[in-house]
Amino acid sequence: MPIRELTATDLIQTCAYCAGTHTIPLMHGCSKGKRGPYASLVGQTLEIAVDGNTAQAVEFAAPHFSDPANPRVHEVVDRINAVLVGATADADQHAPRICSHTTGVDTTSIQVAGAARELLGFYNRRYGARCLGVTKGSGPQAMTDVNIIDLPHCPECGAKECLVRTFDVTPSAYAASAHVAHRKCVNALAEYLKEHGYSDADSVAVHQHERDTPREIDLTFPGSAITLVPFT
Amino acid sequence: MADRLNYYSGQRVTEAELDLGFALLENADRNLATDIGLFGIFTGMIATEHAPLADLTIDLTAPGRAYDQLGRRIFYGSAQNVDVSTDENGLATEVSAAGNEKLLSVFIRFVRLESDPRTDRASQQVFFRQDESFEFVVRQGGEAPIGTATPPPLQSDEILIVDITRTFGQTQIANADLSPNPVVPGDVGRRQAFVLTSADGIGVNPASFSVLAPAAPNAQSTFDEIDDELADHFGGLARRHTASAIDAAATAGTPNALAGTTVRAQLDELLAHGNDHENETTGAHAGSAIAFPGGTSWLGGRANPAADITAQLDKIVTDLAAQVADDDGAERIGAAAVFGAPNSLPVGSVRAQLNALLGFINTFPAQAHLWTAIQSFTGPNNDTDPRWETLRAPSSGRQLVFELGPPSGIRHRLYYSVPLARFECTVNARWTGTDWERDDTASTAARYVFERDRFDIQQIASTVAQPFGDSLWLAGPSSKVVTVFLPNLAFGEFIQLGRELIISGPLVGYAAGQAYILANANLGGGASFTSGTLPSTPSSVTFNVITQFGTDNSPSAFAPSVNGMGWFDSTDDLNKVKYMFLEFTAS
Repeated sequence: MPIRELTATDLIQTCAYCAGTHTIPLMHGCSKGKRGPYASLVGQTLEIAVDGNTAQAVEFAAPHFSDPANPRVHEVVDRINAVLVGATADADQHAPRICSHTTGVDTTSIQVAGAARELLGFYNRRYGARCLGVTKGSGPQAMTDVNIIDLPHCPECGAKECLVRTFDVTPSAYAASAHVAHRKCVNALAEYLKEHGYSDADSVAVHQHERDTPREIDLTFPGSAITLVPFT
Repeated sequence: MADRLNYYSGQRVTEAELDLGFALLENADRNLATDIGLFGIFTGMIATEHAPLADLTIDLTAPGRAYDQLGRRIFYGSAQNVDVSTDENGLATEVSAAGNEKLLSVFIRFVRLESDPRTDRASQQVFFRQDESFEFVVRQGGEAPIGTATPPPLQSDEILIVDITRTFGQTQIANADLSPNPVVPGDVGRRQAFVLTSADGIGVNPASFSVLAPAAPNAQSTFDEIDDELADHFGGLARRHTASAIDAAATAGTPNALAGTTVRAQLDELLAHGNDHENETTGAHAGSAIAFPGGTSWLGGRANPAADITAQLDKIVTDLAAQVADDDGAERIGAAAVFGAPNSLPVGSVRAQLNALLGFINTFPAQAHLWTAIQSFTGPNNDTDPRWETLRAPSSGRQLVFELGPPSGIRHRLYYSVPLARFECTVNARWTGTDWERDDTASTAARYVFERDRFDIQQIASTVAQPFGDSLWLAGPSSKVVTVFLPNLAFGEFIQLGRELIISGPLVGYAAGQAYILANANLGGGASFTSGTLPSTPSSVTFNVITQFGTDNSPSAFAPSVNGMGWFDSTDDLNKVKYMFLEFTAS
């Protein structure tokens, strides 16, 4: 299943298309690149805008790498962290990841640009915190679904996962299935985000007036982490 | 003392006066005897049959001494013989009729024996000596049937010596005819033996008695009381000794001894020993102390000689536990004949019948059997042992395990194949070893194949010529196949067949959209899952954009359901044609 593990701070996702694994912070803006090799990185610059502020440039030079022709991910991360303020880079599953220090629906974000972006596999998108509800379009054409949680695109294959809060009840024959376990996990995450104010701007009003809660929900969360058995 | 005569001086004493003097003295002597009750036989005069040869006389022992009722002394010094064939009157004493008897009585009485004759002055002869003497008198009673005759009465001046019973034709008087019988101790009969005085004339003082309570305070009553007490005691009617009042000496013994000093104590000990013995808490007989006299030999001939119980019991156990060929325990136990069909067991030993049963059992698997009763299998819950098992594992082809159905017509079969790693259920299909044939050529044949990775339902049309090859089940215009191929499923997937295919695992779908869209409007669409439905709304939808133009390349799911979902993506700020082709997976 797409969610492999859920904690109060992160979810670990397995991409349904490429099986890549990604650790995604729940309340911090975060952008993740892809696994190497990162040839031709020397001499390139990565521009990182933290929380919508002016981008910070990170230049990659030969002295930053033990093998400039084949930079290693921890060397990339170290180089970013040597420059970056307001965010921290780390290596997630051998890929670079940059997470803002701040939280909040609109205040936290990471957006990566620069010539090194494509080499490192970052998307030129502004990735904020996870929130319940998604809106497409604007103005009279806007479409909102208050039950969707958009996840970042998979940096490996570009697939994009949407988590869905559900209210119906699965027939009892499937009670022990992975399908139901994932629904309980997603519903627990959705209610957790809503309780902490992480609602899509166009979904806030609906969420605030909701009286119903999902019936298939893992009530051990967030007190306990949830680990799911993925489809193989 | 006696009356006295005072002869005086000058008296001319007459004969009568002199006789009177003797008479008075003699009277005083006899009065003394009668005064103190002296009468009867003192010694001797015991009557016996005549010796050496019994006849109709009896002998009397000597010396004989007696006093008659008048105090006169009767004495003789030598043994006497008395003829009882006639009585005092000279009449015969014989019994005249058979079956009768007659009782005789022999008395002795006082007489004077005169002697020394002289002539007195009147020229009369007188006997100067008149000594005391005796004579026997035989008296007879009347003849009467045996057992009813009565004896002659006692006489006032005669002493009865003996009564005699005479019978018809009797020629000898035997001791047994005498009463008292001289050879029977204690027999006194009517013989008038000397009695000093009667016991009822002797007084006693009962006040000092602790046990006796005589009816009168004299010796006779006391003796009677003693006799009654002794009769009760000896007869066990009363006055029995209590066991605790009877002394008993200690008696040694093994394993038990009697230590008590009274009969009561020793009886208690014996009772305790007896109870212990019967209750077997202690003191039970050791089997080795009980003899076994020997018994019938075992069936088969092994003997059971004399021994003790322990040895015999050991021998029985040993004999029955024996496991020697042709001489085991079962050989010694008899068994009646048991009749049955198709097999019977003849009379003999358990060994013989076990051998016969083993023979039946050993030949059973190789025999064909027609079961006419329901054969049921049962076992405990969660029993892991099979109730039916086939151990054959043919290395080629397939094995027919079960065949159900009527003798002719369509039959159902279960085949097992090791090389194919499967078992198959067929209906109207029979494996010939190389090909298949239908039981009913006018009907279709079906086969259900169970393998580790797949399950097939296969059918062959009735038009297929037979025999037909195994491959024809899967390929051919006349076959139908439904397959569940498990490798196509992911672990964790759960598929349910119904009016729709419900799959718990990820489903996929495909959608596309194209339109001339104003700036910042959404491009969207909707699509169903192509491979079934989910059991409930998906909680994850992942899009993979194949190609797009003019969109944000970031579609999001909208209003998903078990059958599919909608999707929207925002577009750029130009009025133009925009499109998106995408596939998705949902779970």
